[in-house]
Amino acid sequence: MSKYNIQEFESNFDTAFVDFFNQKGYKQSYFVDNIRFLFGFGCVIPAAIAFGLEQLHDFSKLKEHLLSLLLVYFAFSGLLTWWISFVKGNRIYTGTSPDQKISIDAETTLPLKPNPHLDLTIRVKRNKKTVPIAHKLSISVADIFDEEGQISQDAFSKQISSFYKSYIENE
Amino acid sequence: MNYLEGKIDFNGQIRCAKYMNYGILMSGVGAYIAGWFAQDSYLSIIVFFILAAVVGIICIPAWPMYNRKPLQFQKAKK
Repeated sequence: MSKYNIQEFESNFDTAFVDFFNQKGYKQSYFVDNIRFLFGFGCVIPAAIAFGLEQLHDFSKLKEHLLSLLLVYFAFSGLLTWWISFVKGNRIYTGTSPDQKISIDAETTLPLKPNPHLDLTIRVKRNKKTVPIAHKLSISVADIFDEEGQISQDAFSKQISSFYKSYIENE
Repeated sequence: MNYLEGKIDFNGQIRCAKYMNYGILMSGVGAYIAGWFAQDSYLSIIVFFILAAVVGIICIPAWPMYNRKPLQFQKAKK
């Protein structure tokens, strides 16, 4: 891995973060990703129908249904764009604790700067009726990645474990 | 070999992006002015390509000036 690659740093951190919580017994929720796939299929299906109509019949047959297919395509495409931009955003993990009492929602951003800091925001919800509380952590990439560009498990575990104990386990 | 691999530090990446953006912009402006004075659009294209090639020579290789502020990463485990 290239040592100074922001995208790879963020991707490796996200993977390590997901593994950390899954090892703690948290159950990961794929709801946001599943809805994104549904919207994606909603875009592909009208395109496939249009292609099929033109292949099996001719363009005049397709033309009869083109407006409705286009409207369906653009509707799903708009929903997909909204979902990715505003609902998924920078979210990397949504999960529930083994005892079902705590649910967390994590986002990361890693802007390119001379000394980039990975900004982690975790929203913790203690039970279903409470408002989630956001906790933020900013880590320099030099503190958790090694000279070869790989994530240093010791440094990563130290940072995330202390954050977990302070804001999630013991609050 | 590092020149071809293109590994530069983060500060270098920011500077390189800035040089490329301003360089290409000024290449376009310079090419337009040259073509306007010579009243020759072909010259304008040639000047743009030459100036863009100069920008490419400045930005594409991983010159040492882009590796002046390396970060101190953690020690790699053997």
